[in-house]
Amino acid sequence: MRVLFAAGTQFSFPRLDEAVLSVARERPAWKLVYQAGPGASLQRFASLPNLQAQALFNAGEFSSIFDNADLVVTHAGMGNIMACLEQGKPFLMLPRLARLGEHRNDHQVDTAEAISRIYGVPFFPDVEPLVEAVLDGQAALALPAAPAQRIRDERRAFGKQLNALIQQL
Amino acid sequence: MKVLFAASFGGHWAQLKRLTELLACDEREFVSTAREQHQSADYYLDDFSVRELWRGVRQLPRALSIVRKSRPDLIISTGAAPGLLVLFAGFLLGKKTLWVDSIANSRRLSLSGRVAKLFASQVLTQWPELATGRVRYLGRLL
Repeated sequence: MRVLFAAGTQFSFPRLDEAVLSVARERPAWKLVYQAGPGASLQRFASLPNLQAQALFNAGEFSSIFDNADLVVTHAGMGNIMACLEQGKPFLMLPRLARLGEHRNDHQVDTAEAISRIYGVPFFPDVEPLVEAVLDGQAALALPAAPAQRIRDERRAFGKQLNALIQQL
Repeated sequence: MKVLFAASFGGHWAQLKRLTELLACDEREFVSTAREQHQSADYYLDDFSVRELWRGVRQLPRALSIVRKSRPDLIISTGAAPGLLVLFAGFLLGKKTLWVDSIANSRRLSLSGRVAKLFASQVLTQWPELATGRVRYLGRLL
């Protein structure tokens, strides 16, 4: 199984580092890629042959890694969430927490809760249950059906309103 | 109509790109951050947070020159602080400006969005429960 872990483009995310390391040790046959975020210390990932880690991949590289992944584990950033939902890619979320200094506020928790409520995608407040869910690959892959139609409908309605607004501004 | 779109790289940029697909306009140009990570914008600013005011102020001349060079009829931003700066430069130059708050802000408008309320022609939220008199909900990307 190919799993992409993504900590986003703004900061490193030590708790996601831990999750990646646990999965890499437990599943030597899997192919893991980790975008660890700017400022992440990458030495600790170097010794694991089943893991390719980099602070940031450029946009082209990232999208081909994304396309090839069977499962995406994200920090609950909107870029990954939108791409996963649009493409029907199974994903799990570990939102950043303000109290651990992982972000300026808890908007990623709000995002994860909202996306989970609307689209039924699981999110995890802690690393351990997240790791268990990833290791149990079957469960992670058995996520709700692709919500593409719903997204298309939302956007068509939004576009209509936006174009009307722009004419009035 | 020519539209100048502005957003920092990452989730804000991802939303901006999807927004452009929904809009009917004759010409579009893009402002972003992180030139090393992507080459899809026409102009670049350095990334900064809305809390680092001085880094924003320092780049205001650059934002003004981008808007002057681009000569848009309308500027649209999905955030974050660098997008706000471009919107503000547009406001100073008398352009129409539209702030679309990130769908990641489901409980409270972002700090940048709250600042945009002070000068933007229109501020939109992507969550109906956050709409107020000055902030409208017209739909969302998800």
